[in-house]
Order: sequence, then C-alpha cells, then structure tokens
Amino acid sequence: MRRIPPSLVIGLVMLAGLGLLLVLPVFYDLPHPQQGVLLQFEGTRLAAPPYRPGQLGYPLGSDLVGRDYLSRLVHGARTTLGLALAISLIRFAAALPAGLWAGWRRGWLAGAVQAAATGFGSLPTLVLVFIAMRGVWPLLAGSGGWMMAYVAMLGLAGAPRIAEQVRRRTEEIILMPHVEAAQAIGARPARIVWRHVLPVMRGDLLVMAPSEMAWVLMIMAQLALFGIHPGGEVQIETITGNVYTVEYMAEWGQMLGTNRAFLLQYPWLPIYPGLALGLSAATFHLLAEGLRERDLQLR
Amino acid sequence: MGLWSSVVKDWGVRIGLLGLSAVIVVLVAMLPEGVVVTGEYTPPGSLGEVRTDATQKFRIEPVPDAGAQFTYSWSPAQYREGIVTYLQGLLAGDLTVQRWYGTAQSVLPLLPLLRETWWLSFQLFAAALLTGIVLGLLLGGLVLGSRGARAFSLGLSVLGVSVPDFLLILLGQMLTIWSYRNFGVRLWSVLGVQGGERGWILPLVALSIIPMAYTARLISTALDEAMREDYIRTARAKGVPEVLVVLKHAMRGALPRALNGMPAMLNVTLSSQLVVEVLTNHYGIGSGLMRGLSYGQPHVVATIGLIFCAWFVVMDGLAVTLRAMANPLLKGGGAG
Repeated sequence: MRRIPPSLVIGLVMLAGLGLLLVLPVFYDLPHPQQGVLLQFEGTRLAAPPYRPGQLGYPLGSDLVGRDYLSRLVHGARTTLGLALAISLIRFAAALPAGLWAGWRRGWLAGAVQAAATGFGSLPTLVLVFIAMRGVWPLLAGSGGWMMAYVAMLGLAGAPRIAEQVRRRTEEIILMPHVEAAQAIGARPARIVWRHVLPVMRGDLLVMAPSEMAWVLMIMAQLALFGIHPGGEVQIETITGNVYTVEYMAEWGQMLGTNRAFLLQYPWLPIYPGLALGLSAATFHLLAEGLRERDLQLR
Repeated sequence: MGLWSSVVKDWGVRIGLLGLSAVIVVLVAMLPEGVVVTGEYTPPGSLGEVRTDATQKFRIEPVPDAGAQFTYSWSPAQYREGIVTYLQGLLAGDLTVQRWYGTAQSVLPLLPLLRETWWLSFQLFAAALLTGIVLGLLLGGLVLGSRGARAFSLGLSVLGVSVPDFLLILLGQMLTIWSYRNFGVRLWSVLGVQGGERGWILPLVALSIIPMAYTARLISTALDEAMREDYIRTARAKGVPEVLVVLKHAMRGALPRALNGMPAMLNVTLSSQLVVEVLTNHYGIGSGLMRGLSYGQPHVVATIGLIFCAWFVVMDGLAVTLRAMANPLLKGGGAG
C-alpha cells in the first residue's frame, strides 16, 4: 500500500482547521464582529481600547474601537476565504475553456492565449489590479459595485496565466494514443476534450487549484496594504477626541492593511491577521504539494 | 530549427508582446484621465461616522445611502486626450512629475528621475534574484537527499512562499527596534532616508525569500519527476555514479522544466518588490509607482508600468534563452 505523502496529511489537517474556523460561529456564541465599546471598567480603573490579548476577557485583544479581535478573525475567515475562492473560481472558469480550446485548435487561438498570458504577466498583478481599481472606482456604484469589480479584476488578471498552462498541457495530452484513437473513430472535438483530455488533466488541475488559492490570498493581502480592499472604512471618534479610521468588514487582508501603522504600539493588530493569511496560504501550498506527490505516486 | 534561430524567434515574439503589453499598460494607467468628478470627493464604501456613548457597547451598521450624493462620469474624449498628451510628452521626453519624495521643487522632469530610481530598484532586484535562485537551487537539490533533507527542503520552501513579504519586513523592523532598545545593537536600517543612508539587508532578505522558495519548489518538483524517468533507471543500471546521474542526466531533464515556471516567479517577485520598496522606504521605481498611484499621477504610473513591462520581457527572454540552451532539442521555448 502506498504511503500518503506527509505534506498532504499536514495540508489536510490544516484545511480541517480552516473548516473548523468557518463553522465556529454556528456552534460557539462569539461577540458580533462589529460590536465595540470605547470605555470599560477594569476593577476600579477605566480602560480604553485597544484592549491587550487576555485583558477584560478578550482572548486575542480588541481593535482600536473595542471590537473583539478573535470574533473578527473567525468571521474574517469566511469573508477572506470566500473571496479567495470566488476569485480562484472566476480564474478557472475563464481559463479552463479558453486553454482547452486553444490547446486543441492551436493556430491563432493558441497565439492569442499566449499573448494574453505574457501581456498580463509582464506587469505585476498587484500593479495591474491597483491601477485598474484606481482608474475605475469613481464609476462603481457603492460598496457592492466596488466588491464586484475587485473580485472580477483579481479573477481576470490571473486567468490568462492559467489558460496558458492549460493550453500547454492540452497540447501534450492530444498527442497521446488514446486521443488519436478517439479522433480516428470520428469523435467530435468537444467530446474528445471533455471525455479524453480533461480526465487526464484532472491531476494537474487538482494541484493548480489549491496553489492558486494561496497566491490569491497573498495578492489580496498585498493589495490591502496599499488600501485596495473589498470593504469600506469607518471613522470613530474616541473619548479623547481622536478620530480613528478602522476597517468595517472583517477581512484578514483589510485588517492587516489598516492596522499596519500600529505594529509597534499594538503588535497584535497586524500580526494576527498576517499570521492567519500566512497559515492559510501554507495550508493550500502544502495541499498542492501533497496532491502533486500523490499524483506522482499513482502514475 | 537550430538553437540560435529558435532563440531569435523567441526574442522576436517577446518584443512583439512587449508592444501589446505597453498598449495595455497605457490604456489602463490612463483610465483616471477620463474621470469627470461632479460633486464632493469621498472614498468608495465609506460608511459614515459613528458617535456613541463611551461606556455603551455599540454596533457599527452600514448607512444605506452612504455615497449617494456623489456623482462621477467618464468622458471618452477626455480619456483620448489624456493618452495623446501622455504619448506626446513621452516621445518629446518632457514629462513632468509633481510632489516627488518631498523635494523643494514642485515640478520636476520625470524621465531623469526615473533613470536614477530605476538603477536603485534594479540593484535590489538583481541582488535578490541572484541570491534567491542560488539558495533555491541548493534547497531544491536537497529533495534528492535523505528523508530529513527532503522534509527540510519542502518545509522551508513552503514556508518561504507562504510567509507574506510584508509580515517579514514588519517583524524585521520590530526585531531591530527591540534589539536597539534593549541592547543598543542596531541589526539593520529600519527605513531608508531620502538622499542619505539606505538600508539593504532587510529589503534584500525580504525580496530574496520568494525567488528562493519558488526556485526550490520548481527544481524539487522537476527533479522529482525527472528521477522517475526511464533514462535515469538506465543510467543507474549501467553503473553511472549517483552524483553523475543527478548532475548529468536528471538536472538536464529538470532544468528546462523548472525554467518554464520562471515567468510566474518573476511576476511574483516584481509584485513583492513594490511591497518591499514601500515598506522599507527604498526610493526605487516600485515605491515611485505606488506614490504615483496614491497621488493620482497617471503619467508616472504609465511610464513606470512601461519600464516594468520591458524589464519583465527581458528577464522572460533570458529565461527562454537559458531553457533553449539547457535543451537545444526544445524548439520554441516558452512560445511553444
């Protein structure tokens, strides 16, 4: 019996951990992620946020306006991973048919996919999305329009690269004897691609998918550092008269980006979301590596 | 088709694609030129201000009509005019920039500034890439060693691609501040100073992590697959020493496959360079680009975008040339 690769085991365990994070609010009553408080009694003394980890019953501390950070991180998992999944799905939905078809037809279509991949690849994704979002934001209606544009742009910016990978693999697969046999008996191109090319590519796609999730998470975080994130911001006036701009949506990248400036004063604010992003990315990288090793074993 | 004709063809394709990329960059970068603002400015998605009694718990709720009073439109004519003005300025070499890194002059010529900053960025990028690739090759090669070496290689490369570059920089900055406060030892410069001391260690370490981890993963994956090939079994059966099997046979098969992944690695590294430059105050074109975006300067954004494109295409072309040289039988390189 073949041994399951350790990277796959670790990746699956970490994935289960992420899954647990997603369902935790269903089974455990966490404070609402938008619920804050600006002043609390700690014994006989008054304490103002941000509350340190462990202070006043906040396990991971609170943000600048007293919102429970554990709750925000847990709820943030849904938003962050949900967005990353949506972006990855858009990438594959656009890239897979284009890559398969270009690999099958070759000619100008293959050239177009290759040109798009190099064209989009020549500019860092961070820059491409940043420029585009800055350029179009005045035309987007409200936060809903902004979010849709954010997801669509991140999705489309990565699609040409995946399409090119799929095209290359398709060109390799269509030289295989079983595809030639299918052609010889007169099977239609769509049927050949669906029944004979795609199943061979399944292993590659299984490796590509988690890897893509990891890269999407990273790029979301990088964009958030520069103020491009899916949710809006709110201004809260504290009792001292200071006005804090804090993130509204509980999303890890945004939590990290907005709180970056507080690293030295309140290190938990940027570090926890940064760790959450890093661990999630590691989970998907490990899964991709494990699935690749498993695929090699099975060949 | 011979090796060199294949290389020349690949470079021709890449130069053609550079033209396409340049068009995309200019069209996208100039989008803000077409925006006509009517009414007051506000960032998108702003939910308004919440005031509350200090000791009462409150819940932030979205304001339904936030942003409803602001209107914008987009004028194709203005957009076209912006592109024409930019291209004329670029060809004449008289593009200017405002508010460049706190200089006393309000308007400065853009192209000479970019020549200086480009060199600074290139030094950082080249040093990081070289360091990363050399370390990555060594790390990736460990996959053929013992089980422990394999686990070490895999663990470090996964960690390298998973630890966000910004987190690494922030932690590095925290570490040196802590060290200075407690022991009076400054490990490295926390931030660069315009016209003065410039930190290199932290940006170099942060930027070389991704190429290292990426190269290690590419090489280990390619070696893993190459070692299962029939020609490796044949070489072993013929009694070729294991070192020669790896270096002469497996590497030769693995290298072109690993070089396939280089464009994606370059893209990720260039993205990372922007983050690193901004967070460490490294005054290169990456931070210049981010500054241009933040201050709404499409000319700066488009020009630096074009430099990035040319940069990428040259690096991509080099990767394809190396790939063709590693395997002369391969025709078409990345174009194929």
